[in-house]
Amino acid sequence: MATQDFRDGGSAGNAADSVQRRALDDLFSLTYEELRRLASAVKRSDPSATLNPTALVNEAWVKMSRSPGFVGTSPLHFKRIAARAMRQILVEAARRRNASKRGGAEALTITFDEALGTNATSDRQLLALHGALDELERLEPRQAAIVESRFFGGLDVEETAALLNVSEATILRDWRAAKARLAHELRRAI
Amino acid sequence: MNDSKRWKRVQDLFHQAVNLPPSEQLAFLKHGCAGDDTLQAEVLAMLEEDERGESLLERNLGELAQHVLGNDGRPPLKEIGPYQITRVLGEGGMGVVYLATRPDLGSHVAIKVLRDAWLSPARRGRFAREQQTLAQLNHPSIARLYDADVLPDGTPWFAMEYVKGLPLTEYCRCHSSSVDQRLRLFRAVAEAVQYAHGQAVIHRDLKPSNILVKDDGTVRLLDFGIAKQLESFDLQAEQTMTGLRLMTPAYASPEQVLGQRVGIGTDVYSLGVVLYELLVGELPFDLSNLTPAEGATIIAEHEPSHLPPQSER
Repeated sequence: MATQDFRDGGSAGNAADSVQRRALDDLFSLTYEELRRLASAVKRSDPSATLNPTALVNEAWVKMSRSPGFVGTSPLHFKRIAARAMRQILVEAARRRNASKRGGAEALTITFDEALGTNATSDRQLLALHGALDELERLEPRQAAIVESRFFGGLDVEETAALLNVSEATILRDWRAAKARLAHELRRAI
Repeated sequence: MNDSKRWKRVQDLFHQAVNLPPSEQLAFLKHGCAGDDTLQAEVLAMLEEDERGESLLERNLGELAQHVLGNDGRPPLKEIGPYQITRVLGEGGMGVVYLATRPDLGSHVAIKVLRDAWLSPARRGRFAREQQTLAQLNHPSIARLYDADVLPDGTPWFAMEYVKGLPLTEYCRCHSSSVDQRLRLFRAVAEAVQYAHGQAVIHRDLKPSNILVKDDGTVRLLDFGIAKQLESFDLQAEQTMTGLRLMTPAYASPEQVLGQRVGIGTDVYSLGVVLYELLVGELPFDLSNLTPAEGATIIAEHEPSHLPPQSER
């Protein structure tokens, strides 16, 4: 279960945790539904539609900032959480598609609509990126946080610097090296 | 040297080399790596990738999301239980709604399928609640539930009355309905809502697009997707959340935009907005070009402007 990662993250038990867990589950659902909604708008060639994760994360903040589970959470920290949700949703979706192609135990037996633009390479690249990011996190957690926030959450350099409490120059430097490393890992994996 | 230290070393060399002219990079690395060929190869590979700048990370995440959320190229679903799918009626975040027929009976139904049920328990719960709510409501002006089951992979679906009609406001516009006709239709809607309230169900998302008028002039209330059972009101955290994030701002009540406890007054407020629109021809507040926070303030604190005097009604 994709949301499991969230649940395992917090200590179990008291009421505040339960509110927090529910808020995360809601965030997860909302992020997914917005992604879906945008994807189908793009598919219908709705001119106003762009699948823009940055806008999506901002929208999620607007909708969820009053939720009891996120009271006291800063907008930046919320974006960080939303970036993680985005990563998990996309990785989980890619995993499912991969599994269904291989006919694995989790295979989907149904397909709902015509392809939005079928691209098996995207699945494999995303899964490879996910693995390479986990590895980077082990080496340098801050760098993995930069990539997750910027790529999956759409945070800009200024926001990422404020979130991680380092200078913008450091963000740029870390980001450039991380991108080069991950690009190389992806090329090797695929 | 542990992995983290090694990665620092790789980055140091990378940052130094990346600013050198390409012709000098190799010589620099040969010197800097002091015979460590693996280190040298690693930094060189990164320099190449930096130069190319074409990895996944340079791409728009939206594009990627679109690919990953798409299907895997197999033909789409053709049958659900005893029904044959005719076409997609609509799709949203929760799922897809199909128009389908039952060949043995020749009847049309609308089938709602929860997409990606695996994603979260909250989604499955919400879908199940909508189904239960529909099952509970038995009223001529409320689209009724016919059938429910799961697909072989566990995906839940339910079949309900297929309503071919126009949204209330559009219907009245198309038919140039008189005030009297508009009020009659509105009364039928209000009666259906009152019935739901009598069954302890709050709709919470009443708006013209969820109120259809059929060709025969009867109305149908649709989409109890975020409806709430009155008994579960103690779960304040949940109800506040769901109310907030899924409502349609133009018809939302002050308590909804403020994230406060909703009650039957919430539906009554939304009906008031619909009635205003039916009679005046526009919404009580113009929320376009406002941020959600600004919109919330207007809904919560302002009175609708007085009707223009020339609109003699």
